[in-house]
Amino acid sequence: MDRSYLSHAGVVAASREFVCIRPLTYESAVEAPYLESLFRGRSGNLENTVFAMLSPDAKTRLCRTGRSPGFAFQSPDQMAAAMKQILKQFPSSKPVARPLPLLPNVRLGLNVSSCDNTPLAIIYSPDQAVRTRLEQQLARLAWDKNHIGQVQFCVATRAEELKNIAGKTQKPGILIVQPGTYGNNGQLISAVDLDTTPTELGDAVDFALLIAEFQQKTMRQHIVRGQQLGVNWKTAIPVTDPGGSRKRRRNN
Amino acid sequence: MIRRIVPLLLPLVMTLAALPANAADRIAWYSTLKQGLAVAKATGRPILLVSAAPHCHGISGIW
Repeated sequence: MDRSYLSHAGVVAASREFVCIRPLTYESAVEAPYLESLFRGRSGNLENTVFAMLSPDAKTRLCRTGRSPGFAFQSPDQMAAAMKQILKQFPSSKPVARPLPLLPNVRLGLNVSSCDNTPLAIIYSPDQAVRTRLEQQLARLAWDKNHIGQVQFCVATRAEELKNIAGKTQKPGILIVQPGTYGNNGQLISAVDLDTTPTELGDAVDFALLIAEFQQKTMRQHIVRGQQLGVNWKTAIPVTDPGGSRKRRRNN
Repeated sequence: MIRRIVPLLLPLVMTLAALPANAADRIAWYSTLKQGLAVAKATGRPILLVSAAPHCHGISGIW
């Protein structure tokens, strides 16, 4: 990802009025054809990243699509200005409550939160009604100005899904986890029960944000050390990026 | 009820820092097309889409 664009203050500010979607490339056979329809690299295949800005119905491209924002804009400032311009075409109506942004599962939740250097909040309950209630409760917190973008979220329905998380995770509730450096494990750092109040939940999340520790990662060191440790991420579908698949066309 | 040591430590840490220490502004992302596209349609907001692979050369934990 091109962090210089996506961490730019003007881009982040404008993003609050967009719906921001970050599909996980090579992690869904269902999503891959759509991403390919937006952009294919010179190889003709899906590459690691795809960038687009689209109308709310996703039918109209609002800027040049490409591998990254740099394909469409010469600078982050230019991207922020373009986003502001786009927003004029779509004046906001009355605010609509947004649902909790959920990662597909705990495995991807740990990995993505590790990539982003954020805690991961896991809604853990076998009961669908309970999960829905907790999702709604967390959504209010996730979109408030003090927490937006600060935490990742996912759902677990079985204890087995939590096997790579250290700490007492047996009891259903909301588990807040610090992901490991390689996102293949995690450590429980805070938790609330199913009957938590909004205040208690907010306190637990804030506590996790305060005590979670993340190291700045450099690409080369991270990869070399990961190879030494035998890290080997298995994608859901084959990696087709010509630069990212030399020895590993696949997966399971 | 918060289960762990939060009740004991929270007043202290919240006094020391009004906001989370790592609260740099970040984009909030939906991670699946299904959820994100549905929200865009329901809210009438334009879409910023950036797909990314959460690994590099098979090493997870980095974009």
